[in-house]
Amino acid sequence: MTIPKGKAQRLTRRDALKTLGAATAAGLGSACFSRRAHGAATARRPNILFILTDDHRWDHLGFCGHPFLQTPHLDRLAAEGLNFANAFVVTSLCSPSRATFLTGMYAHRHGVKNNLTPWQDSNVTFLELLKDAGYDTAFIGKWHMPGGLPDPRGVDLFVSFTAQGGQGQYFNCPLVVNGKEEPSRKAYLTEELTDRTLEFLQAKRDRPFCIFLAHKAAHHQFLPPPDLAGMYDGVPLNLPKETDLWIGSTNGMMFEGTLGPISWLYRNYCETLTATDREVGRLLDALDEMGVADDTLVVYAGDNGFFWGEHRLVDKRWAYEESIRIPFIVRYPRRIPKAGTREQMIINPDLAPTLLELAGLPIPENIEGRSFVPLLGSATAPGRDAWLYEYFRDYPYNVPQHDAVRTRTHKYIEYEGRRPAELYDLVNDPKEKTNLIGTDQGAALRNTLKPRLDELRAGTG
Amino acid sequence: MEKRSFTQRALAPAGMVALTMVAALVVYNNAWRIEHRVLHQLVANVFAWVLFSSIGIGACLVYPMAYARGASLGERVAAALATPLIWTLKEVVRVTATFTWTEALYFALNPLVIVVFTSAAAEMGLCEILCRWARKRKGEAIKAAPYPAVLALCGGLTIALVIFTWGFGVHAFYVFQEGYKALFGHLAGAS
Repeated sequence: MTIPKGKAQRLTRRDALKTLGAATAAGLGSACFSRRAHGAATARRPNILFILTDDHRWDHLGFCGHPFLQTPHLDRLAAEGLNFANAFVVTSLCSPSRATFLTGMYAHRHGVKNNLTPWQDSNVTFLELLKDAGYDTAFIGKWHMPGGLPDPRGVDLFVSFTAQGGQGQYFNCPLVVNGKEEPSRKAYLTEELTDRTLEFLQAKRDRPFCIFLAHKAAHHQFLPPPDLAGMYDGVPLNLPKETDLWIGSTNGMMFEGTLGPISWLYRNYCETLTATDREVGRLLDALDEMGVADDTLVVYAGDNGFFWGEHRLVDKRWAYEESIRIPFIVRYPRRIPKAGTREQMIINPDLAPTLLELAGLPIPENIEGRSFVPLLGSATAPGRDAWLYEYFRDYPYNVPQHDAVRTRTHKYIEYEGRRPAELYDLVNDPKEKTNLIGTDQGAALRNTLKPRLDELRAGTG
Repeated sequence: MEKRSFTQRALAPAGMVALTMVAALVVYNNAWRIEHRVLHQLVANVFAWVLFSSIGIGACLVYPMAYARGASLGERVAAALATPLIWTLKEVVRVTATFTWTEALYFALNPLVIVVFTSAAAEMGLCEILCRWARKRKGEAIKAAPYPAVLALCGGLTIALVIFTWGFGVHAFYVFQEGYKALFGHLAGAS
């Protein structure tokens, strides 16, 4: 960890309470909080804990009504904050998506178009901007962008891994900590990354912190820790009607890591999600114990969704809802006094400008996202009316390059190559079963959606 | 051993398994259209297994049939590999929907295809040994386990097992991906 040595002492709960008591007694309010109080009270700049998970689809949360999946800690996070029910990624694929979260830009701009095109060091991340503004920053977890691990600017602590092409491995994953290889101290990667996050979180400092925690979970091979393995054995899965046990092993889909019966894979996936939820709980508890929960913005998101047989697909990539919708939960008691749900559409490029605005920083012009800070305090603030989805071909996955426009009510998709366009009425056909192309209704809708898509592609929409 | 016509000794065994594979693929891919959920799952399960078996262990059927009908070594090998070859060709064509022909041809080197072909080699080696052993038991003066057959059995099995057990094929896949990047990296972001 590269926090200056003098600050690298642990702050005890007693220290924090002492500090709080002294400040209150002096009647000086938050501005007078001790400089030893974890930066929590440094002006109004929030601490930031961004937790990004992999392949966690939007509806796989206990509070979303999943029939058996247990996510009590994420349920708690949502109950204490805001659940963005219409959050999306603009490219449903690991590497482009995490680059977009980091930069606030689309893949066509940050350059990580798929899992093969390298990260460009010229990209500016929100971590770098926050560091320049006085934050202590950490990136902990899955980097997984082609080109090897970078030496990212503006990151005090960089913990990642290179195993399995950067995907990491669930058990005994060797780490790279600020450029040096280290063994994992815990067997299970999600626990190890949480431990590393807690260490950074609990280090004594006089500046606010920003942590980007990127889990491998719940990516394939969908491996839960031993104590949770089998916890969903025997529960009815209610997989989509159109799927079957072998969908992940046929027609090239085994390259998504889904060789084997889908029921077995899906149970493992859900168990891995519950394991991840447990680690989120440890982080939330730590924030409470440190007394900084009110001053810490916690954001939980997935990097893309996942098909479990819908459209006879597994994996992500395609522009259908199961693939592009993500869980997105925000808790920040200082700015979100009332918990609830936001129905407005937000997209993953919106994260970076939102964090910058909350930190009181200007938003660079090249950021393509839009801050959703207005939505934090208002359920009726205007949201997006449409946004661009883009997917670039990614060998050897047989998904054609495509662009789509997603409005509040419709989706129009154009593919490169042989596959015809698709248009869906998301209000009356939320599972996107009926392509309206070729119908009168579809022709009329296409007349408005096609120009909108072209506008968005041109960056003028 | 009577040598039958080319159709009977090579085409028929190869065609039988290849047609089974094609039929299983068609039925499996359309089973979801069956409204009755239980029937859909039943049909999908049965034909998925027929599909996997025809590709994965079809050589165990084709090779001894061709052997018993007097096919030469070359004919036996070609007949046994027909189904894996047709399946691989179908996969390559599928990949051309998104990628160039050269990228699609490289797809034929992916670990799954390699496992299929090395397994077929092992199966052919085993079948050759078993067929010869059966003849020897009948009194023919024949070597039951010639070196090429043993090599095919052991080598094919070893490669398939190593790929499959090395992280369930995941590590081999990343090696394959590195090869792709080395050969076609310039195409990866060209869109």
